[in-house]
Amino acid sequence: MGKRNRIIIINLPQLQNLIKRDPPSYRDDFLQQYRHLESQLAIFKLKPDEEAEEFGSLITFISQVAQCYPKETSNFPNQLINLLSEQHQILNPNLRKSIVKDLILLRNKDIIPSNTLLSLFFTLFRVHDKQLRDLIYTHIISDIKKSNVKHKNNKLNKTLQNFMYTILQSTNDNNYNNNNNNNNNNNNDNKINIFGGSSSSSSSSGMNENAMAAKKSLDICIELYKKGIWNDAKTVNVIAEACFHSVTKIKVTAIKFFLGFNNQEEDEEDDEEDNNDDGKNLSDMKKLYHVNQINKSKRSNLKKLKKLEKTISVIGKKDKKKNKPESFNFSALHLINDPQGFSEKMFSFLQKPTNNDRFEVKLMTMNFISRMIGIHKLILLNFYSYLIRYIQPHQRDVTMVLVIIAQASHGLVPPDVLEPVIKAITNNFVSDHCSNGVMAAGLNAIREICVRQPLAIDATLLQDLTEYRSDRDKSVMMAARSLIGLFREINPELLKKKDRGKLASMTMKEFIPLKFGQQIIADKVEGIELLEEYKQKMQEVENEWEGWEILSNSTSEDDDEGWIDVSSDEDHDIVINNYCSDDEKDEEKEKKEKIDEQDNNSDKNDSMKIEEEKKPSTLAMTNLLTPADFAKLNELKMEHKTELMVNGSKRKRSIIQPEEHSDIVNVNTIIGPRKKAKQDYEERVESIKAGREGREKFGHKSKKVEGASTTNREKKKRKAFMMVVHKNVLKKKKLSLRDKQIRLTKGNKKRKR
Amino acid sequence: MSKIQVPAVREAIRTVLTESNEKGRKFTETIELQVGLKNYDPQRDKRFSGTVKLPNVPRPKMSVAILGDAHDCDRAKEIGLEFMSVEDLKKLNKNKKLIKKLAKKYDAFLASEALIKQIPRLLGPGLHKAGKFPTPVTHNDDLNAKADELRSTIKFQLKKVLCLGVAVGHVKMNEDELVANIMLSINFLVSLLKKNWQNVKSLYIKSSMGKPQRLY
Repeated sequence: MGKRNRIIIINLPQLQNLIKRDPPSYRDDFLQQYRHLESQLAIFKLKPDEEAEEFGSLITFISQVAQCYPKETSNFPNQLINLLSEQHQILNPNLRKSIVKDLILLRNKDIIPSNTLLSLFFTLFRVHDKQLRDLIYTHIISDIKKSNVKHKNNKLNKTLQNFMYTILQSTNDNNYNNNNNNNNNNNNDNKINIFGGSSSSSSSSGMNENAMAAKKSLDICIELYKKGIWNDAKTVNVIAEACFHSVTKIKVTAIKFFLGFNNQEEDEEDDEEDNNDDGKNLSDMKKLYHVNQINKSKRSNLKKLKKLEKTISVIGKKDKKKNKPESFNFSALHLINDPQGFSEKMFSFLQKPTNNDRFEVKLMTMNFISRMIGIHKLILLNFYSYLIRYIQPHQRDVTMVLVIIAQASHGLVPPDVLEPVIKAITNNFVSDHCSNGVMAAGLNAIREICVRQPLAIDATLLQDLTEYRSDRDKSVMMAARSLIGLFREINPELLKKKDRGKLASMTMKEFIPLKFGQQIIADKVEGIELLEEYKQKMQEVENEWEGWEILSNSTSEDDDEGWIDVSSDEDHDIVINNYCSDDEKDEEKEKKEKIDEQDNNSDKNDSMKIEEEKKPSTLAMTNLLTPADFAKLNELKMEHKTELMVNGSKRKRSIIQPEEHSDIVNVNTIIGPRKKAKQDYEERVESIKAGREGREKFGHKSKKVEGASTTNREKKKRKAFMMVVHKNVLKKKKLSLRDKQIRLTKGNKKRKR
Repeated sequence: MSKIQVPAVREAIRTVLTESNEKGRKFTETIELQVGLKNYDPQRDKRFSGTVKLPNVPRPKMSVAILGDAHDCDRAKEIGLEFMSVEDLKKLNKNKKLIKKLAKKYDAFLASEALIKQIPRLLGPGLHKAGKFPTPVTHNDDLNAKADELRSTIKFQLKKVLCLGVAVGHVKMNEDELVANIMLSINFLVSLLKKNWQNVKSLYIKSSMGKPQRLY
């Protein structure tokens, strides 16, 4: 049998080639091979742990040509699947891998439905064979991706998600019991050392097989979410469920997903956008310059302009910050079902006395909870008192703890809950015996809390803290001043009189700080009064043109919208001409509107003017603001802001809207700007080396092309010393000055002769 | 879509009103503004939210309750406003179902200034979850005025989907009042959007039982 087999095997690739070209005529050969396979399979099943190379190559062969004989091989994939599912732990690794590859091949040719295969592959994640697992992992992802390309394959997705959920759940339940027994040996990274029953010998990762399978399926979920294939609530909730998993590694992966650790690519994109924004800003500024110069005659001197420029850049920066998209994975956080219940459960897990997670893991969990609280504005009052115990300067990662506190505070947290937290921070961080860095961190943390909940601090404490505004250390001073700056905006009443600043103290009377639970309720579009004022002004300029307008005004409707329409109608075209000339559509639209609505403008004009001062801004109620209007409005708002900052306000200021703050806090905002520490030797050397990289050597370079011959001069220079040592040339050089003189005179005499 | 114009809006309002008049219902129909957005990714872009006070009360029947201290409770009794005292709240005993029931019973809440800070402690997250966290009132405020203010404020908030609807009036209001309300809410909404009109896909108004009328 051996000899015949060998011949066949050598010929297998050839046969494969032939069959693919002409399936019908080689049918007999194929059938022969197929029968051979079946008999081999029966033999193999008796000794499944054998490394049967012939058998493997036979399987490969059949699966390669299976698409040519669909009828004959209809049973073949099932045989393979059965073999794998029954004996995957015992099979020889090479053979196992080749069978898996064959199955993938069959799947790619669409001979097997993905459902059956995927469920098999998920069970295969339990096998201790890293390469195999990676192979399966990439296959599963690409397979799901493929089936979702044209449209979402909801049925498949749903079954798979349910499947993953059950995998995660089942492993969790199993481990839970084991985990309690093993609580003591958790010193290393993969804390839970539960070795799988049958193949404990090869378990090096420290997780049992079920956990391994769960980890991999979690990875798949995350990967698919990131690729935007499974970005629905269901996936997110499967991942969220994994946050309660008893195996730390799985828990950490899930939490890390929600915290969004890998968003470097997005950051780069942001940078590019920033550059574009700068360019735009610059042009805005030029425009403003121009407007300013015209409006203010020639009084505006250079100094004033410079100040203007500065303020504009500050405002621009703030605005830009507002518009920036969130960099972390916040959509996933939004999709979690029942955020309140979820974070309560999470917190109770964290608080459990049996919770023996390492501090890093705990910190991550806290961070996650705090983000949930901040984003969903949850109320979890115990969380704050839980955090107080970590507010110590010598605590590991204390800046992170401060970040967590800041994130967890929002407008609906009762101030009396946050007060002890702030008190703890002041006592432990901001007192004279603390080091400068610690103090700055404490002040910054308090500022971040107050940005989110301004009522958390009272006047006396705040005034104590602002004493540090003249501290000798720069970081402390800056932190204290930023605190002052914040309260100038949100509640200047709490500050000392001298700290309030010009602008804040001027508007103190109209200022009403927000009460707890109060919302800002607008009764008009922000900045509409500016637009209206502008329009009126333009109208006065335009009055002399009225005759023209009336002539063109043939159709008139009986609108009782009154005078406001009049004023705005007339300015529409001005607005367009000056500011929106690029937008042709708008222009058309405006003109149409003008014709449509022009009515009773000439007669009522003067009588209505008196009323105008009494009733401001009904513009938004009677007229639809057009894109051009909005463009002008934004411009006016910007101008207004700069004017306020430069000149101090002459206008009334309503309640200032607190600045939009991000939902997450960066560690750097807590640490604050710090003086750069001096480099030590190694760092210096490293930076030198980095600087050298890619640059050419210093010094003289020969300009010659490579391969060109040397000149005589060069040859003379490079000649070996021993060859010239006895020459006269050298002797002459060595002579003393006196001898040289004698020689010279001699030579001269000779020449004269 | 084409541009939006004031006369068109008026026309739409008129049709909505006549339609509801023709087919009289046994209740006052509410007029709703429905907005579809575009060029906005709720998963990435920041979700906006804003509240605005309309010139005319769109939902006069909105039920308001006050969670008050003794003084405010007395005042509420005088004007016939529904009220709950601290004791009543404590009786709920942080029971989630009862709190949910309470939140469902009323459309909005007021709370005395002294009390409001305790509300998260007393009631837990239930009220906020329902989006009905109370608005503070002082002893000097007129309760009726405050309640009316609540009734006339509307909130625009983007959730997970790209559409939103708000009540901006009812069919018993006259045309001019409706125009003012609708204009202000449209203008306010558009001013909230990042790219103003470029983010707006569609605008409809409709009464509760009537057909929607497209504005934009």
